[in-house]
Amino acid sequence: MRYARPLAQLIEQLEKLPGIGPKSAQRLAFHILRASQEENQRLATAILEVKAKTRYCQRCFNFSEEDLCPICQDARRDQSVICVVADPRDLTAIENSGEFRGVYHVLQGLLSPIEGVLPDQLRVRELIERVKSGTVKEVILAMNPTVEGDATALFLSGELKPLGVKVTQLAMGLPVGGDLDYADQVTIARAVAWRREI
Amino acid sequence: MVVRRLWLQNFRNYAFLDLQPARGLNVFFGPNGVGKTNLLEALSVLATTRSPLCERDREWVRWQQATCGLKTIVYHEVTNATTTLELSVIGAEKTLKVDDARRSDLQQWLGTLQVVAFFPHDLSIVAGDPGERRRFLNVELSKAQPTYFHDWTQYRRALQQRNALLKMRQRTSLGEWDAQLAHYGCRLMVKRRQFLMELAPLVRDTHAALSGTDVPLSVTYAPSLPCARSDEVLDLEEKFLQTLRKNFEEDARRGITHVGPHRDDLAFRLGDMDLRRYGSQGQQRLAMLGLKIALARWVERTTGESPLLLLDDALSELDASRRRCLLRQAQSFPQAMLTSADRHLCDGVDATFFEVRDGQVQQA
Repeated sequence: MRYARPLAQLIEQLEKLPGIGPKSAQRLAFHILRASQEENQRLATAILEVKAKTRYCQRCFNFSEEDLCPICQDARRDQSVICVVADPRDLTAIENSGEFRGVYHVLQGLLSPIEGVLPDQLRVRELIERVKSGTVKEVILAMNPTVEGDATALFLSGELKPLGVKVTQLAMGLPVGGDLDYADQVTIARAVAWRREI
Repeated sequence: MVVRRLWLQNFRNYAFLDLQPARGLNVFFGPNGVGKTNLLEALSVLATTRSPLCERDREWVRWQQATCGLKTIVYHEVTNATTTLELSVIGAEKTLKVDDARRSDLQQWLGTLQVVAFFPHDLSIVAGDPGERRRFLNVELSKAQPTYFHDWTQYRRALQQRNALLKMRQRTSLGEWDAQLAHYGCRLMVKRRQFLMELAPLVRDTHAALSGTDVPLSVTYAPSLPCARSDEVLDLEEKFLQTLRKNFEEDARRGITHVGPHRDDLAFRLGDMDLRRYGSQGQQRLAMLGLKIALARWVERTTGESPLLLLDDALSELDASRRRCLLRQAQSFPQAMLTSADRHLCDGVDATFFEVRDGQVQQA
């Protein structure tokens, strides 16, 4: 036992965080130890409040402070187009592009029987309810191009199409600004398969 | 292609090696355990960044050393250019450099040095479990077509997901996994079938030249879904889907998927004889050598460049006339490397000879 008990406890807690190894945990703990009491108070409060004050948006299941997230509350957004994503990070990625003016639906995962994730564990029922409510014209499926992402997209299109809504999927192909000869062959193969007339 | 130079540092039993192989046939001779195979292994590692002989990269590093390095200069006759490949292992980390520039993407490394190698344990491709033959298909096709590797990893993932669902005895959302299994599986089956169609005549001819007999060696695709022998892609995908649906009860009972490319096999026949069951050691060995040399010809045909041919201890168990035939085949490549415990097996052969002695290689 090399460190005083409170310091050792802090290191032990920090080590549990993702991406933090023993060395980083020590560095963070020493930083916290040296910081002012007010700074540490702010950190502690932020940690406690994030759990207490964050909940799911009741409509799209993005993280939100209120019943409805800012995007769902925004009257300028087109409520008739729903973009379906696996988790809030994907939502942020699309939102950062600034191009999409519709609303979202966060599934909170992808189908993966290996990890015990079946349709019931995802926010599928809620999505179907939203579509059934009648105002939705198009659902854009924006899952990662993985086996799990494709399976989830297939499943959703099977559930949604009978409701008479237009179902689309994000295009796949070449990265913008990339050189064709540097793109990997699988990407090129997909880009060729998904080519379009100009 | 021709390997002009090979440097090794702390690789297996080599503390340091600077070797300049010649064009044509290079013969490495010396007693057991001096490091002949390690040379061929090093070249295989430089080709694919993986060893065909062991799973763990850590085993390459010389006893009690922390790092190891491999470097080679490859000359490409087609483009009249040289490429330098450098691979170093430090702890669990592998660093790749092509012409002194670091490469994190394996795709930019693969293909620079094309190697076709025969190691004695390759006999399991003929004599071993079907899994060995599927590994052969997967490795060779992945090397030739990056999209094959992608299809294979996606297929395997979809298969794991489907099996997990089967174990839960869940029928809901099984269709989505079936669809992906059919999509990727179909691509695998068609690529395997095409590969064997191209390879089979080469195998037959090479084996005939090696064996000096009229009994033909045939290698054929034995897919677990029989219609994969002939059907067009779309028909095949539909039939695979139907089979998956039809087998649901049985699959669910055992929690595994019974049909698909993960159950494929290859059939080796010498005349009418099943080589795996009834072939002698010598027949199996000659078939394996025929397969590997045919593979090298296939690589030459598909990439437009001759690969480096590596033959580890290939002469043993062959009679004198077959040894001569094999050496003639090896000499027909721009460069080939062969190991042998007995130098005299190559007496009178036009080759460059190297004597290997405890981690030292001397031109003899």
